[in-house]
Amino acid sequence: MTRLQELRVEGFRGITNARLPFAGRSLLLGGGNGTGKTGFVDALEFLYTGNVGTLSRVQGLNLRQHAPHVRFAPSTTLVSGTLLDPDGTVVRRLAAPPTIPQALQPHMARGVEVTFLLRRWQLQEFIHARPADRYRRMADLVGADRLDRTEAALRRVRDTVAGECRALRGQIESMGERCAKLPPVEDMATILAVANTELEAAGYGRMRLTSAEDAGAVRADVLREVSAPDEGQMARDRAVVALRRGLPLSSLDSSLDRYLRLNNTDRGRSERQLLLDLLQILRRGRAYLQHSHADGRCPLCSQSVETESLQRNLARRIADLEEISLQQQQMDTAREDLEMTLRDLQSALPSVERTLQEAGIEGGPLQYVQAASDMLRESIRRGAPVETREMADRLRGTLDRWSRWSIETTENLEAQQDDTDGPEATQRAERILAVLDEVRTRATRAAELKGEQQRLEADMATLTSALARRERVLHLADSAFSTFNRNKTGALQRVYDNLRDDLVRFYDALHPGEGHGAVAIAMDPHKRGSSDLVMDFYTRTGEDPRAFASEGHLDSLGLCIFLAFVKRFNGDWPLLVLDDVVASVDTVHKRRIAALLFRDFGDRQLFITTHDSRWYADLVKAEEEMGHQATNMIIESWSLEKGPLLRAL
Amino acid sequence: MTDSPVSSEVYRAFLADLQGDEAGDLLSEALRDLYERGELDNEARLLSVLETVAESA
Repeated sequence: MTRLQELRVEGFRGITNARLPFAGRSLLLGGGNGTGKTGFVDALEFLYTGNVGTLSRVQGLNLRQHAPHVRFAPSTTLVSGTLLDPDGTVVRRLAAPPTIPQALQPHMARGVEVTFLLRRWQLQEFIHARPADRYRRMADLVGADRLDRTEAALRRVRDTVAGECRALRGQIESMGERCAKLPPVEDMATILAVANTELEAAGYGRMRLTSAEDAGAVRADVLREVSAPDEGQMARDRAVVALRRGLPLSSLDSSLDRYLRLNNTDRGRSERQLLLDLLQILRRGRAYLQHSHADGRCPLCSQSVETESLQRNLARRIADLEEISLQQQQMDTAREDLEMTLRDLQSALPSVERTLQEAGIEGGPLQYVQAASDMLRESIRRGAPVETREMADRLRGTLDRWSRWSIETTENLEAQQDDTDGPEATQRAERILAVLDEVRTRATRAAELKGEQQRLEADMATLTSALARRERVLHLADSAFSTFNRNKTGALQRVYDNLRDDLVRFYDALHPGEGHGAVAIAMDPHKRGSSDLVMDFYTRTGEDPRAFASEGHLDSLGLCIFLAFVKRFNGDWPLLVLDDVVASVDTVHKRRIAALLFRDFGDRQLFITTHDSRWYADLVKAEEEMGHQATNMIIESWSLEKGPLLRAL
Repeated sequence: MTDSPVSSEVYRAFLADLQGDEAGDLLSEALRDLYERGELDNEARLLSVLETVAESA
């Protein structure tokens, strides 16, 4: 078993130049407050881990600035350890990579993984920690950090896929609403049947329409048959037909209302885009936190952060922003729907205008409809909600004027028609020509509607298929996460249960007949990453030890937990360091702790510091009674220039 | 990074528990591959594996 032969420290913490001669055995180091005992503990921790827990736990302190002795530069600071079996010297400096002989590399790598050092503040923090913080410390000791990262990654993947499924369902629902709003597609057979009946009634039964394309040829035939047709009257008749048919406005109101309702928000397009950009940043930030193993530090400002809390806050914020993303999709759909309706309206305008011009009628408010719809489309394009609302009102007003003008003009044209006693054949021919125009118009509209319907149905089928694939992924993600969580929680609880035997044995040895019962560490299956300490006390069971135990008992309990972990997880790792851990414990219990340490851990190399001369004597006595030979030293004094003055006993 | 005995036990049991049907067997096999490459906490890799298995099973 590898043992520490000598620790050499130069310019580190309060030590200028000193050596601790472990000689492969345990070492007891006594000394008053402020004499540099903890400096040696820090040096030992730095030697094995490259870190000093006392500095890293306090915001604003760091190794490079605060580890060197105040009279030494970081570049001259040095800690070295001479080891036996295998033999070699490990040298660690602040300003350079460590020097580790090849034979000692496995031993030193293990030193980073095991927990072999306990300070009094660690005891206090553990006992008084929140269950989540206590769990984190336990997880560090058990080596469950990797399990936690895997569990967090599985949870985030599951949540991400669940969010994608929600978004797809929203898109499908929105598309379904658009489909439902489409007017029914007229059946061509019905249109042709009605037209053929009209042809029959007008005496053109021999000219049957078998498709909408036949309308052009039939029209030419009708015109040929009618001699000297009254082209002016026919043009006016076509104008009447066009005015009666009106503009394609059936879905304009509902499209406008939906668009304006969804755009009734204080957020402008640029702010929404910023929020969507922020969503991408947060998603990437969350992935960065995951992959970079940020070690509890914010990647933006390097301040210490509570990573679990940050991840939870990120998840909440991302969920909020995904809601905004979904709203944005609905707004986009409403905008596309309205733009399509406006395009339909504008595409109908030239035909109506041409028909009116052929009848010698100026378009009246038609040009204003074109202008108002242009302005509305422009305001939609620029994403200006207030202006869009004004333009929508203007278009509605213009269409109202058009509607009134259209009715009035139709009545005037019909009055002129009534005054005209054209030949009967001409009137029949004009009626049939209007029917044929109607066939062509309705066929075109039916084809457009059918195309739109097919496009929407194809898009919905694509989205539905994508959703089905995503739901299969979600099922697997959920299964993986829940299976992993169940195994992890169960395994950690089994660890705690196994620890309980040693924990109870140690605590019983220190506190025989003192009214306590079963001591245990428990995981609440309903709380993630949480560990509770429980203890029976006389007639009370499963209580928080802090409810009844003294400060000394709590320190003692913390020490027993640490020792139980060392027993179970440190294997043949030789070193066990206790830095002034029994300050609040009374004399009798300290004596029992001394005996426990050398009885149960005497096969290891103990490094124990204390300012308490009576406990120091207890430790020496226990060491002798158990037949161990330790190096016993005290620090007589300390000065800034010379550091600790060591004396062997 | 090496596994602690506890984490090794959890990973072993997790991969075994996933098995039981075609999709579970495929998922277990794919996640074992990720585990051996030390990428079981890589969300992008996890998602890719889940998508591949969902398509295959």
